[in-house]
Amino acid sequence: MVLLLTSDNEMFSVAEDVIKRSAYIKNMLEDVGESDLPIPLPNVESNVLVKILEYCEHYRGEPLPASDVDPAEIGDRSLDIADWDQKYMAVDQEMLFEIILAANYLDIKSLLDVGCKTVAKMMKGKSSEEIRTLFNIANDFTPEEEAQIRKENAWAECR
Amino acid sequence: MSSIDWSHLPTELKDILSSNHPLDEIEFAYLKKAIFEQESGIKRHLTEVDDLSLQISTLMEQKRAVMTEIARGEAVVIRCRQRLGVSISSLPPEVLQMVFSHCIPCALPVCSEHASTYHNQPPHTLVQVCQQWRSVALDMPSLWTSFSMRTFNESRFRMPRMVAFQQMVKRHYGRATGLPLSLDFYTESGKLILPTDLPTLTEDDSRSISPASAVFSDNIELTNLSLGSADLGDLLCALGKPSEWWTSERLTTVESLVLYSNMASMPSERVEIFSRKRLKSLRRLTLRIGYLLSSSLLTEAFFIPWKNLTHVAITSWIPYHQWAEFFPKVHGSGASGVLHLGQ
Repeated sequence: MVLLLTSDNEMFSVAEDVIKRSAYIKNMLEDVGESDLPIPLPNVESNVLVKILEYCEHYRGEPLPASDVDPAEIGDRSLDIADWDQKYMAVDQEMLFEIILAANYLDIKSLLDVGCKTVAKMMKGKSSEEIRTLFNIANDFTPEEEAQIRKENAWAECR
Repeated sequence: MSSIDWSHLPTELKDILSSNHPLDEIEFAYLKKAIFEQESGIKRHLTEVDDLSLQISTLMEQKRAVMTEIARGEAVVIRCRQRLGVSISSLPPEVLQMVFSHCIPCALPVCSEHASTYHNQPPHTLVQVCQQWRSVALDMPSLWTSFSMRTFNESRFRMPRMVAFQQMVKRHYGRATGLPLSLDFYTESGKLILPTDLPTLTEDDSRSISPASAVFSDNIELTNLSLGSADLGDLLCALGKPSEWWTSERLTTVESLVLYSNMASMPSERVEIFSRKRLKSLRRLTLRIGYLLSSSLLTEAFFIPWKNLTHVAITSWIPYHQWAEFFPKVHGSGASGVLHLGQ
């Protein structure tokens, strides 16, 4: 078992083959060897780690992806997401981005990829204004930048 | 009369008002005095009502101002909470890049998108969201390597500023610094290289400029070219005919050529399009053609430099409605409505 200590000081005891889906933890275990000391995860809160472990548990026993292969690089640019992954990602936006950040930090490439696909899917077919509304993004363009964007879209304007 | 409450009135007045006998002089004077006093009271009360209305109005205005302040405060609190919480803005650039890379479709839907929606599609939408997204998207050459254009004979779409469109295409490809460029161009008419092509797309002074010229300009060296039209024969003939802006040099960098069409009629004359001069870099050829493809088209009408090619793929397909007609009890594949018979 591996002990994990979250940023809000909660301790988790996790089976090694479950948490090894995280390349970060896997490498750490290989480097440090067996230890009774918990691995601190200062960037992950307990509620997020619970979700992460749910994912790792679901895919327990399935082969780990090669650590140096980026799913986007091998041509997997479709937005197809497995049914279970879709249900898993049916969370509020804050949790979705927490999962993505945690997957990035823990280096769980498949989860990071599913998270990024989920976000891309949410943006599909939306204009820039709709994307801003969807994600509460402030329009921080300067008047000069706005003018540049208008210029770039000039071809589509009606006379 | 009886419904009026007179309990607050003096006894003398109540007696006079409740009787029917003729008034004497004293009673007459008393009533006159009562009228004067009541009218004075009414006037005073009306003034008080006016004062109260004014106060209410002032208070309502003050309430509105306070409510506005509350709404402003709440908006600030919401935004602060949003900024404090984890949001898409919390993602580091490298993760945002992964999201963006998934926004670009790996296979463009055939015959479904109009050029008019470019500014509402990634990657163009991405650079219009905020400063951070613009910076990240402009720093990703891979987002800008592909361009797709669809034109239709019966299109109601008008492109009012063709020169600006050409600049947009050049800017698009210009952002793909150093990477191989891909173009997918579907034109229903198949006459993509004629200056008079697709007149419905242009207006007035730009009417004589083909939208195809925007993607075949001097500065754009295409590596992957995908051309589609209703009839492959028309398309190949059009490729074989030079025009004022279309010359064989336009294709010299093309390594992969995909031609797709519903049908392939035989051209009336032999057309040389695949020569070493025209397509000297061509190594991969893909033909996705409807069920009327004939071998004579490939062996007699066009010179295909088989020896130069390292990859050849010929896909024959039939429209889904015909498949459903032949095999009504078998449901075809996927959302595209096209069943692939072989690769």
